[in-house]
Amino acid sequence: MENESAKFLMLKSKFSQPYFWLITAVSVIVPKRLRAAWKQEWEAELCHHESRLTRWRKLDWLTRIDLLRRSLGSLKDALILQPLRWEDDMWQDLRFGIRMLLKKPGFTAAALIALALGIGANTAIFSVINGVFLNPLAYHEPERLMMIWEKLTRADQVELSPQDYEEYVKRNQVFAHIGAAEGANFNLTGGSEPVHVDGQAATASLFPLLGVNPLLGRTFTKEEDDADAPVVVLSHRLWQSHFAGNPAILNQTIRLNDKNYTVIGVMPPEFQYPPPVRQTPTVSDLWVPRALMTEKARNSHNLKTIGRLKDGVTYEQARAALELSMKQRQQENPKDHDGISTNPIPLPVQVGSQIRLAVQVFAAAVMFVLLIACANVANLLLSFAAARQKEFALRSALGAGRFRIVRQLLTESVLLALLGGGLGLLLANGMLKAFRIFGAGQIPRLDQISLDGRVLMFSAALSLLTGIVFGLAPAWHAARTDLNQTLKEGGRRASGSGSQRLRNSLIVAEVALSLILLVGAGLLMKSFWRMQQVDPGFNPDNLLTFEIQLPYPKYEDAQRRENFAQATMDRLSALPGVEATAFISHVPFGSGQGLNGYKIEGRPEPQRSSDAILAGRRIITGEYFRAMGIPLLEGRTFNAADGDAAPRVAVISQTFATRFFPNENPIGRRLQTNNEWFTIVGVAGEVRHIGLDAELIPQVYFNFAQGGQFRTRLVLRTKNDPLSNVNAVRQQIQAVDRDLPIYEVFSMNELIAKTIASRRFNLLLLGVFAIVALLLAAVGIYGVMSYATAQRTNEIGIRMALGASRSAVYQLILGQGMRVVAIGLLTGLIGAFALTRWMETLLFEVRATDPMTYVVIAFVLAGIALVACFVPARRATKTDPMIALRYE
Amino acid sequence: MGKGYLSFSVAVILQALANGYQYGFDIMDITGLPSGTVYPALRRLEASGFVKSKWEKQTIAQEEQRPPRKYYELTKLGHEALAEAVRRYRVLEQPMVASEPEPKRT
Repeated sequence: MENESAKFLMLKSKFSQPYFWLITAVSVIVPKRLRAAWKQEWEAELCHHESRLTRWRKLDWLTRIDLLRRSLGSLKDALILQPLRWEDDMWQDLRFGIRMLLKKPGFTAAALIALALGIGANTAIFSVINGVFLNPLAYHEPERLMMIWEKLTRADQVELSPQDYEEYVKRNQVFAHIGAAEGANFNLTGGSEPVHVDGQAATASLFPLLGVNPLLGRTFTKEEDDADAPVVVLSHRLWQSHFAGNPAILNQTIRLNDKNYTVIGVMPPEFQYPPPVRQTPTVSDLWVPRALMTEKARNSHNLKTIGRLKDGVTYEQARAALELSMKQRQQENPKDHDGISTNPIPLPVQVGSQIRLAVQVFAAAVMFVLLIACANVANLLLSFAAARQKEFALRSALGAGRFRIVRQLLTESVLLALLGGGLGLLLANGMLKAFRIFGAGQIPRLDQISLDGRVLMFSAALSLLTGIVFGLAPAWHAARTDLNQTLKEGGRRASGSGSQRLRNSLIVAEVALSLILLVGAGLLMKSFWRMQQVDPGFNPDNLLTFEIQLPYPKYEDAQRRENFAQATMDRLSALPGVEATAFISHVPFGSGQGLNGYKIEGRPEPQRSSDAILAGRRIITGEYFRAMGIPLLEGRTFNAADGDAAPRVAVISQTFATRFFPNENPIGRRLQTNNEWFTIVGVAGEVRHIGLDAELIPQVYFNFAQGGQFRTRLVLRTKNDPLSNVNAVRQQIQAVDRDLPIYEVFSMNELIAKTIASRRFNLLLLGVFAIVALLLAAVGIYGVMSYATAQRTNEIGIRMALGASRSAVYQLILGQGMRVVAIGLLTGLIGAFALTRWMETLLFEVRATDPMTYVVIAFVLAGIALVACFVPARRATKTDPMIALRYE
Repeated sequence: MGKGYLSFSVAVILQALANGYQYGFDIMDITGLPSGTVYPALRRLEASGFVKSKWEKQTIAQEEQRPPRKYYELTKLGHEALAEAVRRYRVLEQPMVASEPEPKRT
């Protein structure tokens, strides 16, 4: 029909009337198979009537409208043909596919579970990648922003000091703006209870630079910044939680650290600075002008600095320019800049940089799980297709082309994959819920992680691709079927050696992939176990810790701070549940390092600042070592005689003693820091301060009575569950100072758990993926072995009839299966050896090539594979030779 | 389309076909039914085997400088169905009043 209508193409020029256009338009929705004929029928009628009317000289606008009216009926005609779409090939394939899947519910369920696991895990991990790395940050053009850090010998990303910041601003050529902020803590009073709020002291340039407008009011000006104006910008969260979202908050006065501040603005909910790039970002709830924080030491490196690139400046150009200006600074003033280099990092690179490696490992892991699932489903489809070979042969014989059969099978596998993908989405949704619970503190930007449009697209595309990948091999295989052979054999022993080879290679792949995953999980598990064996250096049980912030200037006088400490300790120690109480500036496993430089009396001054003696600086009260259970190795701790008027004293840690006084007694020696001399009076046992997996850093302890800090922690050794004492403790603190909130209240074991939480999370996730992979592989091996054994029922029957013993049959079947598994194990060991070194930095005191882990995992996997082969082998030995032979 | 039951309009279309009005537009002309009724009815009748369609000869179409038209014929089943319908709808016994149907040229 199409050829014939082509002949009338020349007539088409005549079809210029609206009713012809209408027919052409409507024909689009006519099923393709019928379209040409349908269109021709309508056009011929219209043509015929048109020419007849012309002949009768009756073709005027009235009769044309009549023709148009008639052609309108074509729409209804086209609609009535819609059900015939079901007879189109694709729909036929689909309907047939659905029927096939429904007919084999066991097969379908097994395939769907495997696919849902594979696609679900991939979707969940992709949604993390999407939320953390792909979603842009809530700033204007975040890709034009660069964080400016400095690199010292010990650390890569050190915040700038105010002098550094001034230098960067003064010498800047590549940034349109530079801004900075440092953490600041506030006690917000005036409500029913005092509240502690984390905030930032920011430069006025920061807000315009980030390009975020306040939701209400304004941000502060340069003049306010310079003039120490007491103004504050609130976060949306604080505004909602503490001020009930009241828009009248603007221009009101609130009390922060015993000072009046005027609220000038409220930021939108998505705004955060510093950017949420770290795993455990401190969420800032207010911003004040930086110049206000004058009590901070001017040489402290605390400014998180960010710059917006000028138009047309690339990251590389900016880095080169900053490096050049650092060189100039070093030439002008070599002493202050020794061992320092500049380290600008583009903001998009910075985001989530700490979890990038872990996420890469997980992405690889879930891809492995999916590949194993694909191999499983491909195996199932192969057996399924083998059972259907007669059907395909019959269809071929009846004239179905090879392409048609491949298409039929591909339609089925894609249908399966899409259904699996749908289930996978449900699974991913569940996994994301788990991430939100277990990932808090491990994953930055957790709130951004969701199944959004991009994730859904990814999941759909992945499902489609999956369907094609696992469907192609069986489909191709089925299409190659030898028609004559199959029909002759009557569909019995239909699978040839080629199909068995394909099946075996799928098993090899499954075993190898799951071995790699299991080795990865095994290495993480061993690291975790090793870390839990680490002695923290103190007794973490029954320890309560919390933080307080003594407001300035109320506690400007050191004696007032000392009086506060004494009164607090007296009251707290008198509580029935408390054994000992002490102050410490930075509690182990809490935040903050407080590294300082020291000089030892009688030693030459270090030539390079990178050679300086660096050690932690912790300010404690005398009871600290007893409260923590840290042994005092030599000398004494601080006592009442070491007051502000007495000579300055210090206690050093064991590491400090062995590293800097290797062959001498440190007691009585003198140290200098911050231009003051301290006499060493004791040596305390070493303590892990940052984490169980961190290196030991030498420490120096100073006496709170000789210069206590404003912001400090307390530790309480309790007689019972530490957290049960919190209310009593809060009451006692507020009995000393009504306006002091206590915050960051944790038991020491909670603090330690937080530092190992990311390892626990990594282990949990990779462990789950590895176990899923193991189960899938076991099911895969079992399926293939059962099928292969069923295929050989006949042969086994003959063997047994000829006198083969049961053990011989076992040997035959197990040997066949385990040979394939062994090849898989070998491949997997090589793969694990090559791939796990990539995750070396995630490990702790375990080499990526740890032979013990490899051997144990290989044996476990081999054992499970043996069980999976054993079940079909047992079934084979139970074969009744008579039945098997009758089968022939 | 269930056996033994034909709507009146479908019966009218069968009658028109029996009377020699075999093209879609001609059926519309003689029955006064709209195209949105006639064509869907023809599709259903064809699917049920009451009518079958044919394309007119290429030569005729060429002569007229247009694509070939499709015409419909009653099958044996269609004739039986019409007889049944005529018994039901007495009014169909009256002759259709119109000009002579256009002679079908095959």
